[in-house]
Amino acid sequence: MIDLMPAAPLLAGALTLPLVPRALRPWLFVLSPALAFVLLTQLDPGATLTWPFLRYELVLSRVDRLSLAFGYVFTLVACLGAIYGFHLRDLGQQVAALLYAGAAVGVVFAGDWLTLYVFWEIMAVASAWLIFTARAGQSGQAGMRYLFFHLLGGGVLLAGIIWQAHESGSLAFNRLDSAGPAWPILLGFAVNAAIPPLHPWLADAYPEAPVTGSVFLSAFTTKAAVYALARGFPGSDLLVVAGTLMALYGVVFAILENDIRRILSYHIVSQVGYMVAGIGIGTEAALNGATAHAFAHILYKGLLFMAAGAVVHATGRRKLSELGDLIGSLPGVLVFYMFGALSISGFPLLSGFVSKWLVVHAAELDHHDWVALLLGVASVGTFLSVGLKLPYFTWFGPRRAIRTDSIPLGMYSAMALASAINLAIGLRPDLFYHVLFFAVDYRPYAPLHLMETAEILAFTGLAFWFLRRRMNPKAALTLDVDWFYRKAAPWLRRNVVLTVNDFFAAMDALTLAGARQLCRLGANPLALFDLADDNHRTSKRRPTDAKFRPYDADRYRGPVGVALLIILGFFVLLLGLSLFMSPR
Amino acid sequence: MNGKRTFQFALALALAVGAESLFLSGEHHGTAWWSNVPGFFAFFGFFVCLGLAFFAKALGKHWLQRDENYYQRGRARRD
Repeated sequence: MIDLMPAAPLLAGALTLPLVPRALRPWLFVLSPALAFVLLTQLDPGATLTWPFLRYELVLSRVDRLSLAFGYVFTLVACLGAIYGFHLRDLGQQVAALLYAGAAVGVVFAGDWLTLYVFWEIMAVASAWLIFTARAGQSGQAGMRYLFFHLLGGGVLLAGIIWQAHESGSLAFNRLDSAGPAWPILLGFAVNAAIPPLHPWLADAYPEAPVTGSVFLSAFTTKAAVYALARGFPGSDLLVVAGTLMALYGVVFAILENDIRRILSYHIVSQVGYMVAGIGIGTEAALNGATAHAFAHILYKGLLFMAAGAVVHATGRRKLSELGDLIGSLPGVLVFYMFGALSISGFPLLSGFVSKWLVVHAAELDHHDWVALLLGVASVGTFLSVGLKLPYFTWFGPRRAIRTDSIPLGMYSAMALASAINLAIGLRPDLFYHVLFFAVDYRPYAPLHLMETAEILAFTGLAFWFLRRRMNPKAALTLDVDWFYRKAAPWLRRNVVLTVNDFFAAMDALTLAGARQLCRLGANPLALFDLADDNHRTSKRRPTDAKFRPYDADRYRGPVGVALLIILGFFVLLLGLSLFMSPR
Repeated sequence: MNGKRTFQFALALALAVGAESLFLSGEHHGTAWWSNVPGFFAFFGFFVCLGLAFFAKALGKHWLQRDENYYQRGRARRD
């Protein structure tokens, strides 16, 4: 038993941030994830935290090697992200980021479907909030599309969970067989894992988020889904195909992209492909590879988003076609960027090298030779876009008059720390493999493997040198699957929203007019027969509504004199009668 | 940056790496035929890079790429 949910420090931090003085908020922002990380180191695999709910026993926390591996890296990157955003004075962004990190940690420790679902949805809302905090450009619309996509995915997931609970009578979150409820659950996970064609939200929304926000976004949603897939669907053949295809898909689209953070976003799709393929292969080695790659990926991708964000922060520009020649003004950022870029490319001595090839090696071991080869293709494309094209055109591209703002110390510190961690993982893979799910028997620095990697990277670099003029960035927009809903949206809005709205508005007006007439009639039923006299024409009280004249009882009442006359007459009659009829 | 010098250096490095692989032998981790072809991954890196770049560019040019305000124009018509 444990007493505290691992997500608690993060969620508590998110809730107390608004209450502490402004000057202390950055400290609490950094401290919460650091505390969560320390808490994780105190947990023993096998510990659980349960809570009775209705007739179910909710498992708020289930600690094992797999959830710990994801928990460590989630809290670590949240800490790095908070240091990166130490200069922030934006309460909304800080709260959203902590809430998002807390929900992600909640997901990876959830031991039952209901807890998973609740944190899953908090994650969706908090991440959308984080996108909205950019308050600029396309962020509002992109955030809305993002939110719609995730709420839809969450809805499908919930349907699957209810079906699963009904069918099995238990809420325990374990491996699923491929029966009925597994499909909607897989679909819900696939949305968050950004498996094409369910991926367009990622490249659409991440580049629109604020600079610090995108560091957090790059880490959590997709990797929480990778965790959920590893837990629920290891060894599913469908995932091998899906993962390999998405690794290639992301790479091809990244080559076409012009926005630096969108290039990195497509490479999230591509890198998550390695993990999904590893989960699909499902052997011990492959699951290790997937977990290791998720761990390393979060760290180097966070670093890449930090460095790209630093460029955006300093220049206010985000497109390769508008950047260039930053080597004079931002050389430090290039150094840190290259740590991330070479890591993602699987360069020896860095984190990607000891994780990426673990997946590829597992594919080879399991005789998925073509998968291994295609993942190699994706690796070449990754080095081409992230390792060569992006830094070449950003730091060495054409000279433009770009004014750069200074970069806060926190940003540099976070990038330096992240670089150091990536380097440490690359230098001491044995320590890194120690945190993984299963024991690892893989030597990344075997001479032949080193040589093969060097061959791939060197000759990819050579090919880029020939290509570099043809690779000139072009200011263009690349259509993706989001075309279907972004193009359909105006039509749908016209026919489903506007037309229906117009109809309702017309009905509304009609009803109101009817009610108004009924009111008039109620106020003066005699107006129906137009018995009105000329009085109302001279009335000045309601000049706009000449016909309306409230009912006035006096108008139809005889003068008092007439009544008195009748009464008096009655008495006269009585008097007369009494005179005549009185007995003598 | 001296482009020619960099290129010569890169070429020399690449060729050195490619050449060395011809002499290196050891435990191949793959079972496919290509993992036993010396220098295979040098060709692989070079031609896959060219292929990917041309494939992506062609895909963009003939199908997927539009001007940057593509979606905004649609919205302007709608309202």
